[in-house]
Amino acid sequence: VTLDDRLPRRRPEVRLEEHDLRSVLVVPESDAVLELNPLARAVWDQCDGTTSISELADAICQVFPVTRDEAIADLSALAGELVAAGLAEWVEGRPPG
Amino acid sequence: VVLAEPRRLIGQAYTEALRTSYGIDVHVADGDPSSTLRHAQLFAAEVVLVTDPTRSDLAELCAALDSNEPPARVLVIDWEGSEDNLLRAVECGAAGFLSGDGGLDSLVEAIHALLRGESVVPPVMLGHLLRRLIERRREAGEVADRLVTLTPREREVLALIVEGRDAAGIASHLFISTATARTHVQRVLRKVGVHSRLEAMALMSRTGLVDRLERLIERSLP
Repeated sequence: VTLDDRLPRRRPEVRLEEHDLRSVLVVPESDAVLELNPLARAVWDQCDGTTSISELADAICQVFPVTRDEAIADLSALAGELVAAGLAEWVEGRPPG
Repeated sequence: VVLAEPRRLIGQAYTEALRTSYGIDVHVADGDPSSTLRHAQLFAAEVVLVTDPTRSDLAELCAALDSNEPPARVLVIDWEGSEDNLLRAVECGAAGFLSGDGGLDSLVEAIHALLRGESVVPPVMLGHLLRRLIERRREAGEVADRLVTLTPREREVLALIVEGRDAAGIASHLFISTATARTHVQRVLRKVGVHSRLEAMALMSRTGLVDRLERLIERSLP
C-alpha cells in the first residue's frame, strides 16, 4: 500500500454542522472543531474508509486545473489535518477497483 | 465572450444584460458548432457560454474550442442544475457549470473565474460530483479487466455491438451464421456483465473504453 492508497475515514462521533454556506466539524464533548471550505466539505463526504487519496486526486483533477501531484499533496495535507484533529482516521486495506 | 444560443430573444437578453450592467461584450452565435467556433475565433473569445447542457456535440465543441488560439473555455449554464448534466459537462471537458438559480451576478463571477483559469462548480454539487467521478472510474477499471478476458473473436463481436449491429448484422460482417453470432453475443454480454446489446453500448460509451477495445483488437490482429 503506497501513501496514495491510504483510505481516510470519518470518525463516527464527529458531527457536521451546516449554517448557511459554512460547514463545521464538531466532536461532541470536546474542543475539536474545524471549519471546512466547499472543496474540503466535498472531500469530507468521500472519507468513507473505502476511497483512497489516489482516487480522490483523480476525481479532483477531472474538475479542477491542478496536476495529480498537487492534488495528492493537498488531499494528504487535508486528510492529515483531519486525522491530527481527531476528526478522521486512516484505515487499512486497498480501495476497490 | 461568445454565447452559443439559437433562440434570438434569449441571446439578446444575455447580451444586453451583460453589456449594460457589467460592460462585458457578448457575441451571440447560433447553436451549431461551426458558428460557435467561427465566432470564438473571430472575436478571440476566451469564454464560451453554452445554454444547452444536453447538446450531443458538447465534448467535440469543448475540444475544438480548447485548441483555438487563444483557447476558449466552456461555461455550461443549466437552468435545472441537474447532477447528471454537471457530470456530463465535466466529462465533456467544460471548465465551468452554473445552475440557473444564481442570477446575473453568479454568471459574471463565473465568467471572471474562468478568465482567471479557475474552474466553476456549484459548491453544493461538488461532493456528489466527486463521488460519481470516483464510481465512474472504478466501473471503467472493472470493465477494462473484463475486456481482457474476452477472446479476439468476442472483442470483434463487442466492437460490432458498440457500432449498433444486431446478430444478423454481426453475422454478415463476420461471415458466420446468425445462430453462431447470437451465441457469441450472449457470451460477450455475460462476460461484460450486462443483459442486452443496448446496455453494452451504454456501458462502453459511459466508461470511455471504446478506444481501449479497438487497441486490444488491433493488437490481436496477425
